[in-house]
Amino acid sequence: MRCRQVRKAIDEQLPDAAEAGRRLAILAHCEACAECRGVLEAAEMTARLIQARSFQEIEPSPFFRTRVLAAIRERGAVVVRRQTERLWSSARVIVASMFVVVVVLLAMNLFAPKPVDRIGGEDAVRRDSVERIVMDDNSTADESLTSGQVLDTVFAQGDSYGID
Amino acid sequence: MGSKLAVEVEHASDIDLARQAGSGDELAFEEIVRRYGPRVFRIAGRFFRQRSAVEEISQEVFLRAYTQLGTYEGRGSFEGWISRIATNTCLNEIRKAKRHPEFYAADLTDDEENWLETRLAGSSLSDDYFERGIIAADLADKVLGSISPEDRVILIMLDGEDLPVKEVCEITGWSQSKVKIRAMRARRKLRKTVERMINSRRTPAKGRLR
Repeated sequence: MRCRQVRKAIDEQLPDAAEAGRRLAILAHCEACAECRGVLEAAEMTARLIQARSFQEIEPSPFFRTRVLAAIRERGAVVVRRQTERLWSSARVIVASMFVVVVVLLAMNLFAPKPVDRIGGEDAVRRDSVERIVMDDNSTADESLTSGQVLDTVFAQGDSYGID
Repeated sequence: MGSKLAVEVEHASDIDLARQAGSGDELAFEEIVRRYGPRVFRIAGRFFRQRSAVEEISQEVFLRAYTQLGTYEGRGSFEGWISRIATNTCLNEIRKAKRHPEFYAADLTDDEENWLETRLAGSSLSDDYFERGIIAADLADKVLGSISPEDRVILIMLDGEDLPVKEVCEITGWSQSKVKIRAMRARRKLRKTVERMINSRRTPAKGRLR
């Protein structure tokens, strides 16, 4: 075997694990070649280090299952919170526009001019109008007058204007 | 009633457990954690050495598994499926954490130098103590830290735990040829690093080696 073949063989598999014929060939070459002997030594050292690193075994603690389940529940809660946040972010525009509409309606109600009674005009709201006096018996201004007195007054006024 | 349910869950097949857990059955998922906790810990232990780190990453593995239960169709083994999740989670975590640093022979501690000297002298008196101890594992971590996480895990599985190539393929999701080629290149790279480390011990005047 040549040096190159020996090194390739060592990197593929250590001589201990190789089949007998191959192992003997590698070892025989390494006996005669100092460089390849160094390569074999390093490869064996590497294998020992890897085995040393693999020796460690860590077992799950008795509380591990509880921790995992708690983490799943917690993450579930986070997911729900995120979904709520996402829902809120998309609904925000709608809610904000509804709020603006409500504010505008309130402002219109407070500051816009009062509507006028189209049928009665100004006379419709006059406190001393005939209809108001007749209909509103509880009016404080005319508490002393009875309906009969008011009607007498009205007819008397009608006579003076020539109403039959 | 509760204990009867627990017994049923304990005897359920992996695929049934996965279905039940996927539909929100906590008891079923708890059984999955009980069954595969040690396996996931072993995989995480190939990447991390501290118990807290191993526990944390294992928890993350099960959280991912829980959210991906719907993707498990029962074609392969559940063990292989969860092993792949564990391996990928660990690889991602290591990639996120840092790039693999260069190894310098001058970074060895006194204990690690002693271990190396003892090995080079061919002494086998303290093999048990050294090889199973923290010193060798620390030195191994430094040396293995100089190769990529993917190469590292392949070597630990093949050469450290003597797993068959087929099993390594199942865990990593890689083809057999990819695993074999990657392992050979990783061995060569690591062997050269160790060779430089040994040479620097023999000829200290050379100083800091890469």
